[in-house]
Amino acid sequence: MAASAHTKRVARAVGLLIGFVLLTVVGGYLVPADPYETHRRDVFSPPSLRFPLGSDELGRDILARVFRGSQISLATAAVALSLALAVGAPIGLICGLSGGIVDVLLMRVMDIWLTFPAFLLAIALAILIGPGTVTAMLAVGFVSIPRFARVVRSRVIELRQEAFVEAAIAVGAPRWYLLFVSIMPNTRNVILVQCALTAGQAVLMEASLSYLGLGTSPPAPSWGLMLKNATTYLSHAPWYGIFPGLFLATLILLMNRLGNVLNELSS
Amino acid sequence: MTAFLIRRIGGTIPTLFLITVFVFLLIRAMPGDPAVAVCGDDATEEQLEAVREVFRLNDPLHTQYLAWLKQILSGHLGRSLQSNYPIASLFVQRIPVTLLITGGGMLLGLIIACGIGVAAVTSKSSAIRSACTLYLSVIYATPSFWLCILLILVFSEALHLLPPSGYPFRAPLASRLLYLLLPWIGLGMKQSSVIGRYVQACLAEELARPYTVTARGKGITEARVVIYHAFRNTLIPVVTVIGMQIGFFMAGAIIIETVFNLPGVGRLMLYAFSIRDYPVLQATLLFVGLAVVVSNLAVDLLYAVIDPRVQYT
Repeated sequence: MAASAHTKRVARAVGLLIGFVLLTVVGGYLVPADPYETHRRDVFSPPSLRFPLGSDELGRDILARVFRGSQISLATAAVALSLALAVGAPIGLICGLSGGIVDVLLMRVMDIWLTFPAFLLAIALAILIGPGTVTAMLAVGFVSIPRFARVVRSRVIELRQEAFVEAAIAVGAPRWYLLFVSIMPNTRNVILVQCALTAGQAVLMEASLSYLGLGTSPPAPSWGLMLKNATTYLSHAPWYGIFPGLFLATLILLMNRLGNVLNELSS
Repeated sequence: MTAFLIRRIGGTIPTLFLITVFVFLLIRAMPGDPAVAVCGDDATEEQLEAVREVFRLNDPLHTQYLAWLKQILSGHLGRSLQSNYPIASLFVQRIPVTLLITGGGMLLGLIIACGIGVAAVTSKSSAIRSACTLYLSVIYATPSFWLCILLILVFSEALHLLPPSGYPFRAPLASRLLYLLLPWIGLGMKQSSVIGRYVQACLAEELARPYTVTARGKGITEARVVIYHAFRNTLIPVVTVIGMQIGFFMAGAIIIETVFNLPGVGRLMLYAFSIRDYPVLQATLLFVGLAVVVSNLAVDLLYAVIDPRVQYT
């Protein structure tokens, strides 16, 4: 595919994702209703002008809660990605640069880490630390570490064979120069792709943990938690089970799409 | 073959040992005192101490671990802290439910995945190809619990065709299976999106290889080229993906059991966690770990059946 067509696809994927994020985050400040305010007389109001997406079991505005919930999802993705990047990328750099026994040992640990299904590991961590949004963030970040380590290591090993790195070694460049000037800036693309691919999974995992009661605790409006409550009241309030899920699935879809487009572009 | 089997099964023993250590330490590292979980918050120190003695919580960790391991190997999983019911009996009731959910979901997922994956590559209509690709990416992004909520809304609340949740243990098998239909569809659709992507990618790759050109050149019909030649080779990576998905299936079963209120091992685990029933939680976590290891072993052995080129080395 021509480069311009690829660029257009990336631009479209980025634009859609940014548009959706802006809609939910900015929308949260524009909607006059308070996501925590209960209205005992308006329990399970169907969608109307007053409650555009209906109200929940405590008469709270679902639209305001969905908008506020996006902040929890996005914050989880941001913290989880930062954690995975801060720990995983340096491990990948060290393994790729040093090779030998350090590489073998660390990568063996990463492989064992990857053998455990990510979501089950996240459940185990949530059980260990106790439920909460921070738990979900840490659990999702923790299970994403080995993926970052692996992709960064592969890229570093590739870069080590490149002429410009060999030239730097030949002229006696110190290790810090190789690391910070020759290698690190060139791992940016694979890290970006991995971030986009992991972000959707992070949002999904936070929502799933919250749905199981192992993530965000009430009354915070996490999308997973809202859907957990909605499951009990599906016959009374079908809209309660539809809208939070629609926002959740759209965010994950847009993040996955960006990840896939970037992945295609980089390979 | 026998040597391979012995080696492969022997190779899982260290993994199983590591899983027992992991599960044991995880439970011990959990916040909160198991004795308080049994006696309640207002228990006196003497009562707590008595419970700790009964459950040998004051013993050194390695003694506790060895005693637990001995207990498991002799087939006694202990008793629930809350109900004093034998955990083995709880498992006997719940394991079949979980196996039915995952087994049915996996089978349905595989059927949908193969259908959609093959249609996405071989259909002559570009609309069908696009629709299949769209299905795969949309369902992949849809959380399984929301997918199940939508299924309940459509098939139970709107059409009144299937029961929304529950599992009547005492009902005849046919009506019990009725309660499993929606969970199967939910788990199956979700799985089909993961496996279908691989079927699509691998089949497209296989169909571009020279042997399919030769097969077509010999005058074999297109359907035969796809099914007997390319699709068979597509199955090898697909089985690998299914093997990698086993853990996902277990996690999926936990979510599906929660949405549909099904009495499986996954919900038992969450319930045990919510009431701090440590022996039950420990046993269910161990079950999940064992299920993943045994399924991976089964997938390894399955390779040889699908691809005779796989050597037992």
